[in-house]
Amino acid sequence: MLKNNKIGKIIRTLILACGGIVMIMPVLWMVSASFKYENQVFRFPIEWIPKTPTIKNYLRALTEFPFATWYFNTARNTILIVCSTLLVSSMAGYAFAKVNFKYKNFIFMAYISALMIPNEVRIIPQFILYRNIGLINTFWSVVLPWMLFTAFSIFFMRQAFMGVPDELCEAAKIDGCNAFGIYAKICLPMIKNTAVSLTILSFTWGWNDYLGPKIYLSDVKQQVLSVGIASFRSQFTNDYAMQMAGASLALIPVVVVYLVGQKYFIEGITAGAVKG
Amino acid sequence: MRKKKKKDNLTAFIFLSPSLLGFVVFMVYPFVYSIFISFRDWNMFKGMKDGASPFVGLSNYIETIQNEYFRTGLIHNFSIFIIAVPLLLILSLVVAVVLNSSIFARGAFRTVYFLPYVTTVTASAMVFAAIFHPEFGPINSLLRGFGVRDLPGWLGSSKWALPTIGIYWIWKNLGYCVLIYLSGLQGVDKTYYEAASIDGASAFQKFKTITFPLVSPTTFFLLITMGVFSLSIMAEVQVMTNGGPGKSTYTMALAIYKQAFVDFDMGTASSMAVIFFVIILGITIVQWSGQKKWVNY
Repeated sequence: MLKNNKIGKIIRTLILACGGIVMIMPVLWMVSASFKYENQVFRFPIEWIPKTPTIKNYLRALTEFPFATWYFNTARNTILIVCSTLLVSSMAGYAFAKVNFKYKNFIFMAYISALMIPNEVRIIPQFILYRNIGLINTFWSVVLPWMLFTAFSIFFMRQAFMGVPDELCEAAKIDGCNAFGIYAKICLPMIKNTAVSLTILSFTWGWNDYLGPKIYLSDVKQQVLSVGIASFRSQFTNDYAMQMAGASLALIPVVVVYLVGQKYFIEGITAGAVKG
Repeated sequence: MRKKKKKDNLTAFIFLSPSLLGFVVFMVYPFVYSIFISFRDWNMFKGMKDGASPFVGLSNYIETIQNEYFRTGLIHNFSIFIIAVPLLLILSLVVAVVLNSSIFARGAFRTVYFLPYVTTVTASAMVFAAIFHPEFGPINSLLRGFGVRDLPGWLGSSKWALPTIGIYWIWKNLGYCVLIYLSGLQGVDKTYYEAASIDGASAFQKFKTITFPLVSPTTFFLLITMGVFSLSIMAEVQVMTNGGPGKSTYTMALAIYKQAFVDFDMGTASSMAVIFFVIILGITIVQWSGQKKWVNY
């Protein structure tokens, strides 16, 4: 019986390993191809570790394209989105979880139903609005909607604050703490894990944001990585080594953040979904 | 007491003010304004000035229904919905069940399966386009190695382009669904399985009679979220095929984008967007009302 269990365990692990290879193969292939000369890229069987590796694709990508600007713009947008999401949604989440006020349920339902309004419905009026107030081609046009309102984050924060015992808040109130003190000194420290999860989640939203930058930014100096990289495919139609170098440059930061913070990432994703 | 209530209202207002601003400016206003524009022959440059954008009744909607790109996009979105979404859910449930059983290196597998979900769409879609290159791509080289004669043309053929995008989409989102299923499975009481084992149930019977019914709320959640999410597929299409060959990979979102920002026909694009929203609303309502039949809470 025991032996049988072990064989089953090995078989199941092998099945998962096959699937895992399929999942990670594209990423490995990308990295491998990015270090090859164009005429080696499609050689079959695949040379996973190139015999004559080269960094010329990276050098060319970095010199011919404004990667530094793209990195800077993407990083600035992402930082703004992450910080603001944390602040705005934790404030709203705190109000929904810990304060009794008029129209609370109504406002909450309205916020949640915003989850159903797709981006596609909002981009045209937003574009017109931005043009009228002169925000086209500025990074504000991209980050403002994320900074001020993401229904998911607010819901996520509310759930976390619901878990903070009311007695703690009451005790602080009796000690003379006002609502802002309770929010900042009592509740925020208790939802640290949720905050870290949301940080990592919103990092990937900000880093991978595509539709907004694509529409609101036409100046290459304002552009972000996700849109900049897409131009590689039309620029280097038949130079796949270059394309893979560009893709690698775009993916490395987000993959590193994922690998470092994956515990929080996974907690965030599952907590956000299941409690819904 | 009344004073306390007033104070609470004020506190809540202060805490909610940034998100209320965002909600009104970036949700309510664009939503209402989209509906408004959809009934007008919208002048891109003048807007409402000098009556440049007259009310045209339903003519934008009629144009939308007759627009072949939007119609093809709708059909493609529909086929992704009924083929790719169920396939994604089945695959991820299988992976989640195996991951949840006794295996080696569980953490490492979780990391690997989830990795595609965090990748930038434009970058990983570019990688897929190379891997599925109809002539030299490693996939077709592999198939050739197995002796397949009639190789699929993938993104180069109008028959295979949409399935290729579907494959990419499943690859990218599988890890997310696996994670959600895993947390659903963690809530399943182990004693059910023990009792079933004593009764001599096979692994498949256990899956059919215990696992599947008990994760049905998770399946329902994923069906709605991934179903709605699949409707907005666009970035990957722009990178991989830009709608081609011909119209073979158009989606609704791509049709809206092109109508608005390539043809600058904001009126028709807005009516497309409104129809898009109504479809999402319809799916959500149908799924919510259908859930009672097969979801066990």
